[in-house]
Amino acid sequence: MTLPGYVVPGQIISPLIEKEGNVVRRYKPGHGVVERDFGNVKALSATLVGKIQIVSLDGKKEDDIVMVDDEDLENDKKSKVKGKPTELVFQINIENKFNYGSSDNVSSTRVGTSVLPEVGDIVYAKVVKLTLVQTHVEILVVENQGTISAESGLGVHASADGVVGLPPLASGQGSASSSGDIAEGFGGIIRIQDVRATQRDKVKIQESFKPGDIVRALVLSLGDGNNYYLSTARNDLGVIFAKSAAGEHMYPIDWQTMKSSVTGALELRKCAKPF
Amino acid sequence: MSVLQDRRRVLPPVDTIPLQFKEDEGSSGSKETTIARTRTIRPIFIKQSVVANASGSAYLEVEDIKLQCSVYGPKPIRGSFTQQADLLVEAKLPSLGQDASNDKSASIEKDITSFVQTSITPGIILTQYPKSCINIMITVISADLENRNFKSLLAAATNVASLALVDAGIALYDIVTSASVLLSRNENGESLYFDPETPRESEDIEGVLSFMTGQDESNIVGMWLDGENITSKNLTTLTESAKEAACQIRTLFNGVILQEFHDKEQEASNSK
Repeated sequence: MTLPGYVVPGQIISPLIEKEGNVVRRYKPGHGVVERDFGNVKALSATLVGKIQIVSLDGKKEDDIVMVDDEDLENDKKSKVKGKPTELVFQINIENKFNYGSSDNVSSTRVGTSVLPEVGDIVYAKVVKLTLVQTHVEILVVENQGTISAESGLGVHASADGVVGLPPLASGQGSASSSGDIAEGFGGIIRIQDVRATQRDKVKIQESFKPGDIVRALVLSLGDGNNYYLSTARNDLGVIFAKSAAGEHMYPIDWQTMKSSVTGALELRKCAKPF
Repeated sequence: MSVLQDRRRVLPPVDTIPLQFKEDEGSSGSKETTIARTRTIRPIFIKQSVVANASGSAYLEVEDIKLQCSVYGPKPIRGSFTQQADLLVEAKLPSLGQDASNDKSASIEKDITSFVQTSITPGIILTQYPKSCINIMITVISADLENRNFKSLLAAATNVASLALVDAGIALYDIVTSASVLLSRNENGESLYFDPETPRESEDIEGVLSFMTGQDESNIVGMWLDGENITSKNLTTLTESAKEAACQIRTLFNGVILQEFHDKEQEASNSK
């Protein structure tokens, strides 16, 4: 069976399992692909416009597999004697215009299209507010998935060709939905017990983060309507970018101290291990 | 400025008078030259990515109908947790050059909004976007609401919204396409028109139907029929012919969006 090279949303790509001689191929949905029920048959269906990309999940390259396949057809008898069915697993991704040419989607394990944070994702967030018990952040980027909003970077008031002012939302009589307000951004909270893994009772928020810091964090839960719950309780998580009180860039010197590159002043942060 | 005024809107000065255009005398004759087509749709012009700061956008033109649609989202929402995205559709009619019949245009906007929302919703995988909302804004740049068929405008609005969603890269089960049909009934018998231009007359039935034609062509996702004494045979004829027209539109869309993707791919590989 040949898979389509380019697809449009709604197009069927492949069945879940395909048997050809001794080779069993399993297809798993990847980026932009969903598993759908068509009556009594399940198949993979596209949700985006783009180019099909096949990734082998058991380490073999696609070329090898095609070769194995050809051999099988030629030496049908031989493989029957062997009687050893080969099972190959592939992931099917769709490369669309937003991630074209980037290698990110190859490592993407995300099913579907959304770049919204999911449980288990690593995100980059900016600290906006500190309280005694938690840190409020705004999520900017999901690692390996890109920025959260496709329109971000080009603000509402940006002036470029084709930029149209954002219309008033959900205010006109023509609206058919009763949805509520639009929030400022995708907010997150790092609670005091999620800042680090050890000596949780000794954590002080003021000595871990400062407003303006960029933090690498793990999504613990989708949280409530307003905030995602994030954690930095791992060596590779924590502050990755910070400026000192005087506004100079700082670099980490150990897991809880950062040093100003100009004055050499030390400040406390919960740092992420750089490498 | 009063305190209660909605500051999110950019309001014109209070003494603004809408532009008045002189009636073009030469154009009145051209309306009668409408040719009766039967099983073909009018040529459609479509273009994606027309608005730079929207997540996705599209422009569609069918003779006098000119529509622009932009999709914003998924955006975060305030308030309680939602398992799936809220879909907001909003339609806007041109306000300039029209009579001050605000009630009428509001009800037309509402008609467009509700039909598009009904049709589009089943096509979107809303569960992939928890705690967020997707806004679809349809702007009617030009359309003759008095003398032309309103169902054809509804079909065009649904189609342009579908295209903008595809452009935004929002996960879709299928592309929804919509088509309008008119079954003319008089003493000479019945005749069927795809994509009608003129509104129905007393005995006629007109309708607009939306389909997801990707896998199973009989997936109706939206339907609006007007007319009296509709027999089951009429209904079958109307749905079958609307399906045929919707498939024609889908074929066109598939071709155009793949072509636009190929062009972008070419551009990307050239710039490397």
